[in-house]
Amino acid sequence: MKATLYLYLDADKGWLASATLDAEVDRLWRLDAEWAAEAAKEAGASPPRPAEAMLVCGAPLPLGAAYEAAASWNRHGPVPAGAACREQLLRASRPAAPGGAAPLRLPEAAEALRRLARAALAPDGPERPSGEPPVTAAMPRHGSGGAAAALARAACAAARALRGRALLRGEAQARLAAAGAGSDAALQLAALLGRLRLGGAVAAGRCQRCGSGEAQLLRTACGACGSSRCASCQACLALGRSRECGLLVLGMPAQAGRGGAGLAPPEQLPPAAERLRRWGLSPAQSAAAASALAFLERPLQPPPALGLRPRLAALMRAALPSAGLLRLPPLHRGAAAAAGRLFRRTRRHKPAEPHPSFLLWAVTGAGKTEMIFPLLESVLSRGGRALVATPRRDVVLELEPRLRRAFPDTPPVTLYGGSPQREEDGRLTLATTHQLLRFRESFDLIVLDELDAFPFAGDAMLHEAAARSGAAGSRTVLLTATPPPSLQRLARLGRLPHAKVPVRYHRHPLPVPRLLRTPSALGMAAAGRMPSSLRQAMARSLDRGAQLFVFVPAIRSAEPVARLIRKLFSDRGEVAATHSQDPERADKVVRFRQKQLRVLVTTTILERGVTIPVSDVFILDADSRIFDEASLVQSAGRAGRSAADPQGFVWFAAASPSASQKRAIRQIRLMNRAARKAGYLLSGSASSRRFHSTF
Amino acid sequence: MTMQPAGGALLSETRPPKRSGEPAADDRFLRLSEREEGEGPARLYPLASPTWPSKALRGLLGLLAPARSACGLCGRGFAPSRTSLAGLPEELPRSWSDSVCGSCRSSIPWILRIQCQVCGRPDSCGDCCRRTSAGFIRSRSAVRYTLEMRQLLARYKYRGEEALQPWLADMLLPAYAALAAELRLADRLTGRLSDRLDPDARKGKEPFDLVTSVPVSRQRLAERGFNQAERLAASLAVRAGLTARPLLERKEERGKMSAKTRRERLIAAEGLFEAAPEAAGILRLLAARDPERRRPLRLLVVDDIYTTGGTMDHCALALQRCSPVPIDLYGLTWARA
Ligand SMILES: [Zn+2]
Ligand SMILES: [Zn+2]
Ligand SMILES: [Zn+2]
Ligand SMILES: [Zn+2]
Repeated sequence: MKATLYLYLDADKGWLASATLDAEVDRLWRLDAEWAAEAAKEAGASPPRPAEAMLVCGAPLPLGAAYEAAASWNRHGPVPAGAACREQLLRASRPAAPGGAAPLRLPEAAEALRRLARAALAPDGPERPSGEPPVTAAMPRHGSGGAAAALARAACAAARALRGRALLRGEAQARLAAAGAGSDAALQLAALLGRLRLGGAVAAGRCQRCGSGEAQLLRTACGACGSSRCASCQACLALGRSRECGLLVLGMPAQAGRGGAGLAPPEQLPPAAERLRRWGLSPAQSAAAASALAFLERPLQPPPALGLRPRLAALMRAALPSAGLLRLPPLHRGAAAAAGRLFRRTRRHKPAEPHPSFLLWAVTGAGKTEMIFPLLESVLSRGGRALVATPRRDVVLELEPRLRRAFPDTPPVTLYGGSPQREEDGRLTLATTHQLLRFRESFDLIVLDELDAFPFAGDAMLHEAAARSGAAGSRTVLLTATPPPSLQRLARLGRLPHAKVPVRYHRHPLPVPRLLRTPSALGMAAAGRMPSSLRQAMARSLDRGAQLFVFVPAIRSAEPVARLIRKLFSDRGEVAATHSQDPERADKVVRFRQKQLRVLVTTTILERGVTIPVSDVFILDADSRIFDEASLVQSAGRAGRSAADPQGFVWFAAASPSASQKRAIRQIRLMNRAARKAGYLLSGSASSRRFHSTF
Repeated sequence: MTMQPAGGALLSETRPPKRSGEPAADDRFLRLSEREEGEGPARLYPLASPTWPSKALRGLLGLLAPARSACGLCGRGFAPSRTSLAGLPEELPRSWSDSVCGSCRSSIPWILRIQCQVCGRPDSCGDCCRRTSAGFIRSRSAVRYTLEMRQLLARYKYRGEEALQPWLADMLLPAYAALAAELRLADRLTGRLSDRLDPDARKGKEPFDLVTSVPVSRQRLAERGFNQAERLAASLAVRAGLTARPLLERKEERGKMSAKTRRERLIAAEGLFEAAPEAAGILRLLAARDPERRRPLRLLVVDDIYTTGGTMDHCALALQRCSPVPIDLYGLTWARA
């Protein structure tokens, strides 16, 4: 889309530039004192100082270019940024310089605006032959009031609805449509009132929504703005296109408490032990939830002393206040020095400190959802905003009814790709991690479930989105059964507060996987037989009435293995295979849950989430690289989930015992040992353990 | 290079004074919208200490492993050296086969043999006998419009994954080459002896004079930012050594084409297209450039999908109506529904 560039004359600051979605609103706001006073009064703000003159560029510019040009003018004076203009920068004096030269006269200012617009249209190339952009002086007209109050109301409604959000134009319009505040005019007035920020979704070489840099930007000719190199971000395409000429609307930070008073202090709540009791947690759950709650309700600590590297960086910055200048070619040093003062002004920010976070390391089947209830309760009852985010949509769908039951007064707003609730608002949000790109400084508590699952794991963009969705002073709780090695190390080093839940809710130990030496899955399938050890293990599981999860590392092994099992155990019920590309996957999972399927051969896509009461787990080709420690622990975690059948069997079948297999077994053993030591295991479970090991 | 520091683009120039009650744009807000050079991204938890030995080891292992690259269509990593070229049309450039993984390649239903000489359908065709007015002579398509191809095209067209464009455009080349070969053969058979000795004809000069494309409406162009047919045409022209020019305009649409029945589509397409004001001039110039030519001007109309042929036909008719010189029209589309 396009935006209009204009100049206005401020009595003190001289000529200032601005870009607008609706030039008429800016004209009224800046030149029509009556209109502005009425709008400001309606919005509870003080009216602006009227501008002495206003010059509007008649040719709308590509939106990003218009905002950039305005920012450049206000920063560097009436000289457009661009290689051709550096010489001029030296000579030009900033019009706003206090006590400096008198502001440009109207015709000079008009010429300067024309130059600015021309440079914005053709940033690097020669000037366009297509003629001068027309510039007109906007005249103050009086008596245009009346509509001011209505527009101000719409602007305030828009600002309220967009608190804590970062939305593209279409998303903002959809969200505001219900309030009748989705017009560009309302957004523009809200921006003039200082309650929204408007700008290009891609600007200054970065996607302003997801933070991706130049490597993720694609510059193409654009039919929407006419630019021949309009940048669009390829990283966050899943949530609609963020592009240079697209509008990004940033709301103010969301407010906690009544009227923005902030989170109420935890002292107002009943004692933590009392609150925890109401959720009926097991001793292990309760202990972990208590330390997470203490973390959550601890007053904010002053930021820790800088580590060595940030300290070095700070030193460097102090010693070289204009470090950025070194990157300019020598020819332009002089010009750059002239601008140095302006650069330094924007260089004051420290690297962002992460919000305090807490790791809740709970074994598979520990009942981690129940543990987050007291945490959510603490924040919600203090007037705060809480978020539960998870990478996977099916987890969102599974959590939704449980959260709804637990918090009937603040039902969760559920967001995922294609969810129907997008325009609702509430203090408890349940979302896939991708949706966090649409939030900015919004939540007082972020609970991140299964942060090690695809696609969140290893996606820097989503990590950043999650970090940015936290309001000032927010806390993050990371929830997983298999923290990635980097988090485990942080926890070990004491740099990440954490609590472990080493036992399942039914208080029986985790089944310890056993190793089987077998040929490869495809080899067995091709030969049409399996070693008797594996065959007997499967037969035993089928005999005891269990359903079988059979994990294979690759899609191409799934169907052949299913055929093999079908052939060898033809009288034991139905066998099916599924994988990420299987269109009938959801249907097969349902049939497996309903026990219509006896055996399900699957790739790692079912290593999480699907829980079957009486089930055993076979992992074929367990030495494959696909099965890392976390994946093996998760898959093994499918067995023994119900109190009625807490044991279950887990087999790692592979040609060789890989390091991952050994580490997974060690991790499971360590958790069992910790559970035993803490006295979390039921007394009866020791005997069953003996049975297990002599089996 | 720009004189602005990175970040700060959303730094608004309008900063009204702070007021009580409503917090004005404060520094907290600014920090989010701009990022300084050298400043790391916002982090969720503290940075773990770097594990340089394992990193170095990984680098070393990387050297030993075969070169891997990301597939241009699906983004997954694969080793180009390990995939075979079997079953690929040979007109595909090497850069294409080096950039598309085996699983994507095997999902592409190339149209290698056609049944209907008019519309290039790979199986028997009832549509072409039903047509009463023929605007174009022949049309050819690169692939069948299967579910996978539909999803691929949707990612490009609707989701806006413009990075797919070069790979999709390359896929037109085999179908284009086949059509060009047909025309060259026809030229040789019908031409006189002198033509047959014409060095141009023997060298295999491209048999088209201009490539053009099916337009989208102004409104759609503003939404989407690009016209997929025009992009495909432009890329094809570059690769085949031709010139591409948009010659048509589309009036505002009444509802989406994809939501209509065959009959509705045929009716809706009627009068939807008209020649751009400059089209006649371009065609006249083109004809004047080679007065020796003994055949009508040949134009190739490119589109993304051929469904009923209605769109192609109406575009062709609109061009026929405007053209001051005789023209022959051919079609080339990425997919054949
Ligand atoms: Zn982005
Ligand atoms: Zn654009
Ligand atoms: Zn691929
Ligand atoms: Zn046909």
